[in-house]
Amino acid sequence: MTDAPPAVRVEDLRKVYGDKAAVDGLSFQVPRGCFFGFLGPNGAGKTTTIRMLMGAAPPTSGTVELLGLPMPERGMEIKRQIGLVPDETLLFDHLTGAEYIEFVGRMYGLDRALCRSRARELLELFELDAQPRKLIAEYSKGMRKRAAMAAALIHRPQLFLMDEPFEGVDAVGARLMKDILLDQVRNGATIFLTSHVLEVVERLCQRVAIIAEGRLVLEADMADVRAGGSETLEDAFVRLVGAERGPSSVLNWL
Amino acid sequence: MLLIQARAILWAQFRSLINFYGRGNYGMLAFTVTMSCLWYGLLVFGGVASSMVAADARQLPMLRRTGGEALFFMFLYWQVVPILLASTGAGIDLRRVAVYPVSRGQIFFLEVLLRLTTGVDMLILLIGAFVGLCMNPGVRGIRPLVLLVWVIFNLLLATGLRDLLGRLLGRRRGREIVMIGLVLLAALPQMLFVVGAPPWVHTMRAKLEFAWWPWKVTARLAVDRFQWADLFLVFAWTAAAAAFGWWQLNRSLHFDADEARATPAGAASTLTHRLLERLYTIPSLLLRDPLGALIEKELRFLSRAPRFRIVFLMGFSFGLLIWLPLAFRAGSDSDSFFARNYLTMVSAYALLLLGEVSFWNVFGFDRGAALNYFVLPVKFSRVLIAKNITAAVFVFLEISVIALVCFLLRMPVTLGKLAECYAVAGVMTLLLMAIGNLGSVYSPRPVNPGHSWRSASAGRFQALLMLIYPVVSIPVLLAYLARYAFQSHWAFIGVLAVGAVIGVIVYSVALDSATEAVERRREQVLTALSAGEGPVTT
Repeated sequence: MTDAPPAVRVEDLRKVYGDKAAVDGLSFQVPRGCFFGFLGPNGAGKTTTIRMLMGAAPPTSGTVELLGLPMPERGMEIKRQIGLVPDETLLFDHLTGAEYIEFVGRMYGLDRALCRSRARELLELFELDAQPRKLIAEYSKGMRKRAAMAAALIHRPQLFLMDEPFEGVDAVGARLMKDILLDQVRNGATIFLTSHVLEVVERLCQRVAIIAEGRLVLEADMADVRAGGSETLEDAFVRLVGAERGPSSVLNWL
Repeated sequence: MLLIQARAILWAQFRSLINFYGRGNYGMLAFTVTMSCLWYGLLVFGGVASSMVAADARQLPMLRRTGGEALFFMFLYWQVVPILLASTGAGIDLRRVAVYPVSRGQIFFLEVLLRLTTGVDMLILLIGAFVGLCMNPGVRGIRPLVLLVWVIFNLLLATGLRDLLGRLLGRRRGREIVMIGLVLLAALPQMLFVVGAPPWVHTMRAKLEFAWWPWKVTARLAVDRFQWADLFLVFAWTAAAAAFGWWQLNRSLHFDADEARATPAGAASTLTHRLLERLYTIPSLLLRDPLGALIEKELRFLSRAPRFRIVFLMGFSFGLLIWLPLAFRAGSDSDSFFARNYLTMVSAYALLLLGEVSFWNVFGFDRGAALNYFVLPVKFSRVLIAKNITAAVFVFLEISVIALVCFLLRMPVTLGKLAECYAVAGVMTLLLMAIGNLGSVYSPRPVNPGHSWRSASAGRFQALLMLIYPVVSIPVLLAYLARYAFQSHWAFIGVLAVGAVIGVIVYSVALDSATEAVERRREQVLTALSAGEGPVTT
C-alpha cells in the first residue's frame, strides 16, 4: 500500500428508491493496492453502492472519489483506469463472449487486432472458447461472470470494481479467478469486491467493510476482524448484521 | 480513441442485430428476408417515382401544394417507427456504454447516427426526391439541400423521443401504459377511415394549420420562393431538435430504472391491494389443495405479469375499437349480423388475444416455475387443469368487462346476448385449451413475461393456429347456422350443447395425452424452456 490518495473514497453516500434508502450515509476508504471485501446480507445495498462507484447509477447525495479523482466530474479519466465486473444487467446479451470482450477492449481505446488476440487468450484462459457462437444471453451465471471478469482484465486496469465475481462460478474457475486477482494486487492494483462467499473474502481480502440496511456497520483490517483468532469472518458478520437466531429457536416443528 | 470507440459501438450494434435475428428458425429468417426485400423494393420503386415526379418542372405547382403534407407524413413515420422498434430489444443499449470511458457527446453522436437505421425507409424516398429536385430546371441552385437539414432535424428529434420513451418504459407501469397507447393509436386510423373523422378532428386540424411548422418551411424552401425567414426557421427547428435530443440523452444517462420502478412503501397497505389479496384466495376457499394453491399462484402470477396485463387491457380496448367500424359503420344497418353479434365477435377476438398469454404456451410464459412442477409431488394433470381454470376465469372476466364497456357506451347488450356470449366463449375455450395443452408440451417456447411485444408461441405453432381457429369455430358456426336455418334459439342452444359435449371429450382426451407426453418429454421441455432471455430458475 502507498501514500497516494485512496483508491476508493466514499463520503456520506446515499441512494433512495421510492421511500426507502438503499444506501444511507455510507463513508469508507479503500487504500491503494488493497484487496477489499464489501460485505452485507441480501438487500443491504452492496450492488447499489458498486453501481454508484461504477457510474451506472447516480447517487442521491454524497461524494465518490476513485483513484483520487472525483466522480462524476473526472469520470472519463477514472473510467479509463478501472476494470468492471458488473452485475448481470450491464452485460450485452446479444453478443458472443469473444465479441463482448473485444467490444469492452475497444471501449478502452485498445486497437482492434490487439483486442482480438487478447480476447482469444482470455477466452481460452477462462474456458469460454468451447462454444464460440454462444451468446452471453445463453451463458450460465458462472459463464457470465467469467466473461465479465475476462473483459475487466483486457486493458490492465489499476482498480477493479467487482460485483459478486464468484457467484455461480465452479471451483476450478473460482480458483483461477482468485489467482489472477492476487497477481493483480501483487502488481499494485486495487480490488473492491462484493461477495457472499465469506470464506473466499476471509482468505483473499486484507480489509473489509460490512453494511446492513444501507449503513456501514464495520470497516476494519481482516486481522482485526478475526480478533486474534477467536472469531471467524462469518462469526463477526453474523454478529454484526444481527442474524444470530438459529432455526431451532424459531421453528420448533423442524 | 474516439474513432475506435465509435466504430466499436457501431460494430457491436451490428453484431447484436445479426445475432438477434440470425439465430432463429431459418424458415422464419428466409421469410423475414423475403418480406424485407419486397418492402425495400417497394420503397426503392417509390424513391424512383418520387424522383421522376420531383424532376418534372410541370409538377412544381403540385409539389408546392402538397410538399408540406408529404414531409409531414414522413416526419410522422420517422418518429413513430423508432418508438415501435424501441421495445424489440435487438440493439445494444447505449446507456450501458456509459460505464466505459466514452464521452456524452460521442454517445449522443452515435445515438443520432443509429437513428439512420430506423429511418432508412424515409431516407430512400427522400433521396429520390432530392435527386429529382436537383434535376428539375424549375428548382434553382442548392435549394434541394434543405432536405439534408430535414433529415438531420428528424434524426435529432427521433433521438430525443427514443430516450424519452426509454425512460417512460422504464417506469413502474410505464411499459403497459405506453404499449396500450401505441396499440390504440394504431387502431385509430382504421376507425377514422371507416367511420369518418368526427368534427373536432377537422377543427383541430384547422387550428394546427401553421405556416412555420418544420415540414412547411422545408417544403417552401425546397420548391417555392426563397425567404430568409424560412431558412432561419429551418435551422432554428433543427437547433431545437438538437437541444431536445441532448437534454433527453442527459436525462436518460442520469435515469435509474430501479429507482423509477421502486414500489412506494405504502403500496402494500392500499385498499386495492387488500381487495386483490381477497380475490386471489377465493380458489383456495372453493377448492382443495393442491388445485386451490395452484390456481391461486396462477392468478397472482398472471395478474402481475406486464405482458398479460397489456393483452387483457387490449381485449376490451383495442378489440372493441377494431370491430367497431365493421359493426356500426356510418349509414350501415344497425340490425346487421355484425351489429347484433358485436359482443360475441369482440369476445371471440379477445379469446384469441388471451390465448397467446394464457393457454398456447403455458410453461413458456411461466418457465421459472416449470421445473417445480416436475419436482413437486403434484400430478401434472392438476397443473394443467389449474392453468386452464385460471385462463377460463380471465376469459370470462374479460367478456364481462367487454360487456360492461359496451353497456357504458350504450351499445345493444342484453342479458340473453351476454349469456350467448359466455356459452360461445365457453365452447371455444374448451377446444382451444385442449389444443393449447398439447401445444405447450410439444412446442414449448421460453417467453419473458416482462416483455410486451414479441409473440408467446413458437413460429410453427402460430402457423398451425391459422388452421386451428377455423376448426375450433366450427361448432359455434354450426350453432349460428342452425339458428338461421330453423329460425329458432333452441336449435342454436342444441347445437352449441353438442359442441360443448364434444369440447369436454376433446379436452379430456387431450389432457390425458398431454400429461402422458410431458412425462416422456420432460428433458426436451426443460431444455427448450431454459434457453433464451428472461427470468428462469431451471
